[in-house]
Amino acid sequence: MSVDSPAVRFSSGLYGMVLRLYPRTFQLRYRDETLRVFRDDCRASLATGGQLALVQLWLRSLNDVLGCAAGEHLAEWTSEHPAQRRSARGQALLTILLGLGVVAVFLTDMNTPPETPMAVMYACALFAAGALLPPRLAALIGIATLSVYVVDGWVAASGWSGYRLLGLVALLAAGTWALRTGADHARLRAASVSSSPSRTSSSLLAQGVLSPALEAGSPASPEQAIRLLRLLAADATTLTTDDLVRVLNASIAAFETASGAVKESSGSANGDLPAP
Amino acid sequence: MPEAELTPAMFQIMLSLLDEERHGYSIMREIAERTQGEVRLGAATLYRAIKRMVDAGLIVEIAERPAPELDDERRRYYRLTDVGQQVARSHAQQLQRLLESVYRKRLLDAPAMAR
Repeated sequence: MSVDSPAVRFSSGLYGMVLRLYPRTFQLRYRDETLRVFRDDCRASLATGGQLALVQLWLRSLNDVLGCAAGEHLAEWTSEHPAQRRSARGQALLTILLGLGVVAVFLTDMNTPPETPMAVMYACALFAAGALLPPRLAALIGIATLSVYVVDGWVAASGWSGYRLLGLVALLAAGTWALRTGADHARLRAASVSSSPSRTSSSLLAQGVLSPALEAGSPASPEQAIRLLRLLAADATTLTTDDLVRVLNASIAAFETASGAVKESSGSANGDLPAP
Repeated sequence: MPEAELTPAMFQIMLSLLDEERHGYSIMREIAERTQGEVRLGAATLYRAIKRMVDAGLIVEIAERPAPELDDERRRYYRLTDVGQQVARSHAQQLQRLLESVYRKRLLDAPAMAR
């Protein structure tokens, strides 16, 4: 077993640190493999071109890895994994309802003292933290927020009034919700790693198989239509509605052309398949 | 939902996997050799593309290993799926039509065998 040179070991260590910039889900699946390939590339570069080739590899790789890390974060942020999408919608609704509830509690009483709006603001910040940030960061913000509120209660001239205690209870409730929400997000992200092929396959299928047939400038042949319909049957659960409509319309057009029964009447785009 | 696109890197990986199952570094080297160094995928780009292709069902990580003398047990090997082959073929047909337009517009001279 060969021992790597210090330059390769240093490069690998540094690259491994840079890979920490990736989302955790990507790291769990591909960090080791990515690092292994980079290490192999380092060895090959060093063997063929010496230190200069290694520097050139780094110049290429740094731009590559930083760009991809940013892209992966963006992709994760905009991910449409069904579980995440449902979760985001549900939690956005919960956030609004809880936020409105907290505001309503304080604003319905006309004798609201000056310090209570601050509790409302803190509570809203906690809701946002829980919905948007990783659990640990949300927890830190929650602890800091509660600390500021409690310390402010000790030093304030009004002391611990009933309203301030009510605000503290609301903050604790909001903080608990924020932590649970953050933990839910982390769990969903981890679950998406081992999920089945995502809906992106439909877009790739549409681009790779459907689009050429539909954009060739002429209707697809019946044979191609049959092939598309078979694909549709095999992949129906992952196709989007737009893709389904495109496949069906293309198939109808192909059969109509083949049988010479193209209809010029209005609404022919959604016409029935001609009788065989 | 953002539209997934078949990027040049993904198509290169598909071409690389048409012949045989390969691991990441083998894919990278094959692409560099086939394109005579014109296309050199970085490790990050390679695995970003692989992740998207696995998620899309275009390639799969295979459990069985190649012949022992060719195997590297630390690595993951990938194979093109049937859907991946269809997508690659369709994309190649798109490129072919594009190239035919290029020839018709006389931007480039068509090779003799294509006339």
